[in-house]
Amino acid sequence: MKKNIKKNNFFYFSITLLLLSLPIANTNALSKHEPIQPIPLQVNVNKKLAALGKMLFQDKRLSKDNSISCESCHNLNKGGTDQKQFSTGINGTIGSINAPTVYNSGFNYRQFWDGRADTLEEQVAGPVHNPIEMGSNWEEVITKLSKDKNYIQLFSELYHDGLTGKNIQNAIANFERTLITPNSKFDQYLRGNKNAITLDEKKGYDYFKSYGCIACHQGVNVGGNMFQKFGVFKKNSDNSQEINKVDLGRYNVTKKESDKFVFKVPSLRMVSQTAPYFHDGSAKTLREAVDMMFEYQLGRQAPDHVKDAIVKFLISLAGTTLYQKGDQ
Amino acid sequence: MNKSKILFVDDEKRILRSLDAAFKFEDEFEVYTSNSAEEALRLVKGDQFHVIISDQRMPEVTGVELLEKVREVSPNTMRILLTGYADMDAIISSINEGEVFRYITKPWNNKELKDTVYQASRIASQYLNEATPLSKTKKEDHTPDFIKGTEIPILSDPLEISANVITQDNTNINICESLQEGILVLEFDEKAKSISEFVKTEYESQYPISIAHNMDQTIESLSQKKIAVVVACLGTGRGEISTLLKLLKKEYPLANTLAVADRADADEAIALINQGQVYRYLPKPVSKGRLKLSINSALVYYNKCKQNPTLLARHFVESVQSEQEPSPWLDRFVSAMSKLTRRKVD
Amino acid sequence: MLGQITRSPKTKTFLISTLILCAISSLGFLYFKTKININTYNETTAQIRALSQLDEAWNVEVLKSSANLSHNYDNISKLSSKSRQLKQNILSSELNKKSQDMKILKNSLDHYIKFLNEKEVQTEYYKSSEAILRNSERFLPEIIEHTIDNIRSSNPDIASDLSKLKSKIYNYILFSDKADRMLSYKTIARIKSKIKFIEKEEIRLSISNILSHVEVILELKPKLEEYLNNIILSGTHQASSRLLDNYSSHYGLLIKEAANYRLALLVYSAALLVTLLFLANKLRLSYIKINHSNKKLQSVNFKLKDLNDNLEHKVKERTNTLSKTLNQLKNSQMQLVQSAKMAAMGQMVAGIAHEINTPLGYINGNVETIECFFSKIFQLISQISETLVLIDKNGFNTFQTQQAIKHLTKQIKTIQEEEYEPQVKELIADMQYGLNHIDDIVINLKNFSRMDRAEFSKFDLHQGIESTLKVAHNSTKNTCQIVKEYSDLPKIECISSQINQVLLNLIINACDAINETNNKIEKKRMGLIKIKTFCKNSHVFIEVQDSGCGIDEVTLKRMFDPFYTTKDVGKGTGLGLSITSKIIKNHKGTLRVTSKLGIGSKFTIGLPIHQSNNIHQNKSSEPLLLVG
Repeated sequence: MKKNIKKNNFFYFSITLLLLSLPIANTNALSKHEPIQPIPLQVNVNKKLAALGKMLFQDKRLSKDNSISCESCHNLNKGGTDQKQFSTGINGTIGSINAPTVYNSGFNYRQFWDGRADTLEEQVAGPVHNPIEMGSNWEEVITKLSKDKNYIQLFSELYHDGLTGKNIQNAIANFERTLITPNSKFDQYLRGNKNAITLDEKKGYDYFKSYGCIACHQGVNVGGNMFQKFGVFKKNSDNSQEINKVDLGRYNVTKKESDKFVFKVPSLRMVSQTAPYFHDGSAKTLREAVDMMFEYQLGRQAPDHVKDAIVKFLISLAGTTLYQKGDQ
Repeated sequence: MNKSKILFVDDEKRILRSLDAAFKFEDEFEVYTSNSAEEALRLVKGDQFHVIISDQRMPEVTGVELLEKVREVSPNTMRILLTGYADMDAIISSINEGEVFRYITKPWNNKELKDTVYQASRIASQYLNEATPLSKTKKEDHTPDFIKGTEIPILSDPLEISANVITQDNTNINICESLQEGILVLEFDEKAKSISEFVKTEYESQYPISIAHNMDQTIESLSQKKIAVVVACLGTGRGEISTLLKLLKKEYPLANTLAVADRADADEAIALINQGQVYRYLPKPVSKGRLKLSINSALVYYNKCKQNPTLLARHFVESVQSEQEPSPWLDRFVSAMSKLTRRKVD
Repeated sequence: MLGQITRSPKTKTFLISTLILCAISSLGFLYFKTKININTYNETTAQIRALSQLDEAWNVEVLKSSANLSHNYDNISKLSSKSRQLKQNILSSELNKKSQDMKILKNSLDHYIKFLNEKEVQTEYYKSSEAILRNSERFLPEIIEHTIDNIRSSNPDIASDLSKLKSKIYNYILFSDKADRMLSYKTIARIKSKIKFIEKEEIRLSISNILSHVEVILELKPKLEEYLNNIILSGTHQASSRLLDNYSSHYGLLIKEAANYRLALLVYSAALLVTLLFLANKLRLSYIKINHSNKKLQSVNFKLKDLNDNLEHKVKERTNTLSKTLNQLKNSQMQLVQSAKMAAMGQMVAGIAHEINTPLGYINGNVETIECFFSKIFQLISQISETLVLIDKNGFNTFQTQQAIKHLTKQIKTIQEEEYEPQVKELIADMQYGLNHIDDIVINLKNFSRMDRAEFSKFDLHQGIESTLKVAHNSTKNTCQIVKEYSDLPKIECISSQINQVLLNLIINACDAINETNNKIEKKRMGLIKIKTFCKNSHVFIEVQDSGCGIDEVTLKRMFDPFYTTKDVGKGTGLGLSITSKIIKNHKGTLRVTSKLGIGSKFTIGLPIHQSNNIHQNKSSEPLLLVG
């Protein structure tokens, strides 16, 4: 068996080499073989459910002191984040981790930086119960929401067991699934519109691929489908900075040494609007982020023009927030 | 000449005044009147009275009770009950306890009363004073017939008078000297059978018992046997029997009669006192003890009288006033009786 | 005891109901047992199968990825996510139930899940490692040639090392030879030691980059192979097969069991049916019985009805006879009462007669006596006349005359000395008194009886008491003292003869009571009868109190009963108080008795002053004399 695999490896490696020796820029050949896939233009979600989910998403009663809603940290007008390093929870408590974007979160195979939630539904419960975020619980929330006749009616319509935590989660998740940003310039390009992006952006994409960013930031969501250690070439421990709990990443979930500093690879789709970057919001600008990535993850250098092009490319990833146009 | 003392006792003063006045012209008597029994008794105790006449209805003590006491205190005093109230109890007790000489009802006839009192006084005199010479004449002749008619000797010797004549002893005492004297039971109807049987069982051993079922048998028994006591059962045909008893006392005063009456009849009883001087009048139901007691006492008295015939004088009877038509046996009886007495005397 | 329990109806119904309940529940139970939910089995099996298929696809994707045939990790990630979902489903299915029968499967399930989890983990590691490795493997050739060229001139030894390294690493990349690996590490170490000799910063940086990348390759490559192996050979396939086998065999057993239960159910149902039929038959029989007895009952009913009618007729007859008898009895009673009254009257009359006899006695006596006196007086008068004749004939001085005058004088003297005149006067006065007395008695008798007046009329009670006392005088004179305590009384409406009757009854009774006491003691004492009258609340009250022997409890209860008497036979009729109480009732009055044995009794009559409706005479009240 091993020998077989070895043989396979050899075979495929050779082909890879051949392919790589060819000029990289072959932008005309758009195919399904691109590592980045365009965001689908539609999602299949129950309209009413999504509407209810939206109501809940924007409902501050989900927090203990009725000051924080989901939208407070995942602002739909701010790229699905609050554009702050750390979010503010109830009682003005500053959080410890950077809020990832809600947009396209449906395409992530896990939720949270440490991937502890399998589904969007699971994720909803997190902030609600987090004492430094919404600091509440479903009982409280339900008590508050059940005074709202509208909710009662909607829930009884849509769910046979009415207003429950599970159903709240389900409604919000369904709403979140509608938050896709299709039809970005880059997606249009992927779809065949060669002139959708500028030359620089094209170059940026090529560099993105050739330098190896694409190894992790791939798929429909340009990331969000795997875990990776933050600091492959440069260890975190090299840093003089303190190590917080959040920095341990996946280790907090699996408690395996090998999972220290391992995070879910974030989606780069909305990076143009979601500064600051990384789990600790330590990169204030895209350029900074790119620099850090090169250092920690790629273990190589690149000239400025390369990095700039990459930044431009990244900006071109941002699509339209569909919800503004109304549901499908 | 000593006057006979007579005493009238009544609670009604007018009666006493009337009686006193009635005897005003009778010089023979010294009339005393008393309003109360107590006083009367005192008088009798204190002096010798021939006759005492008392009313029955008095406060505190009845006449009979008084006479009873008088009998105890002065047995020789003749006792007469004069009363307006025919109380059966009084009558019977006057016979049985008081042993009265006469029973007179109010209103009385003055003459009859005087006659009776004279009679009584005469009898009493025999025992109380020296013999009052019979020759003592009065303006009115009160000499009773009996002195003329009978042949009973009048003795001069005063007799001992015992206080307790009748014994209270219930046992059969051999009282009669001769066993020949017997008891005659007049059983004229079935109801008297129990009496005759009782008498038989009780006295058979000591005395000859004769039982007569009709008049003929009675006359026969009386003429042929010596009878001490006659137990007469007054039931049906009692008129006859009571007449017989009356005559018997007249003709043969020695026999003591006990009348056991079916039902108490006041008139009958009074007549039997006055005309028959019946010894005892016992209305039914009569207890065996009572009967026995009476018979015993009758037997005792018979003995006494036999020893002292003068006692018989006390029981002088009035003439028989029979309402019935003279019965055929009347004459026979009288003749039989007279034969008997003549024989006796002999 | 069990017998006792079953006998009580309550427990019987209880037992029966529990029995029925048990039968039904066992039936239900059996039925329930025969039912096997195949659906869940099917579902779960499908899920397992789906997962298994997914598993296969997963392997394929991973292989594709490793062969660089897939362009991103989306597929793998999607499958991995799906697998997680399916895994969750299975875990929430019946397989993961903590029930007894599922424990057998738990082992295989746990196993399967474990393998799945492992696979996931390995997949993650694989992705991470592969990405880095890919990059390094691509970057290395780019940089290493370049660097060797750059450094050849300046540091040829390093350059040769690098070349060596390059060939080694390429070899290793291709053939994963351990020897190459080792040598590579050695070469790296050598180069690292020499790196400080390089002057150009740039080149130094490049070389360090190269070295780090080589290290990464060296580190990650074997790991990646391992991961890949683990993924492909995760054993999930076997585990899932085993799980399925166990599951199906488990269900096979269940089905067998169910089949057994079905059989049992069949048998049980059959038995139940038989029992039901049996009971039904019994029921039918009992119904027949009931019908039969019902018919019998009906016929009996008819007979009863006939008898009943007959009975009613008989009862009517009897009632008639009884009422006739009752009438007869009433008549007899009235006759008896009448005869009792007659007897009492006789007694009463005897008393009255005696009362009259006393005055008659002395009147009669006095008449005779006075007659005597008169004869003496007439004698004297005739003597006087003779004397006067003598005087007239012979003159005063004759011896005869003188003798005669002497005789007269003596007579007159006697008359005077013996107080004829006062005595006669006295006797006459006595007679007058006596006649008055008799008259009085007769009047009072009339008053008392009042035969002419049987209606309600106004009556002076005190008068009534007085006349009654006179009538009873004979009885009371020696026995008791009468004390009167009168208050002012108005005239009352009553039947006077009846009231007098009542008063007489009470007074006589009082006398008798006192006599009773006297009989018991030696010395006779005068008793006391106190008659008190007073008026109160529109009623008049008469109290007759005696110092007699008193009335005992037994008598108190019965003394108003007719024919009840405490006196000897022939002495009392026993009707006195009974008629008294009737009369008082008739007058709407009251009669109360208080008594103490040995001390005395008190009878209190209350009579209303006015009689409102009692106008006409009550026939039942007897207006005749009666002494109890």
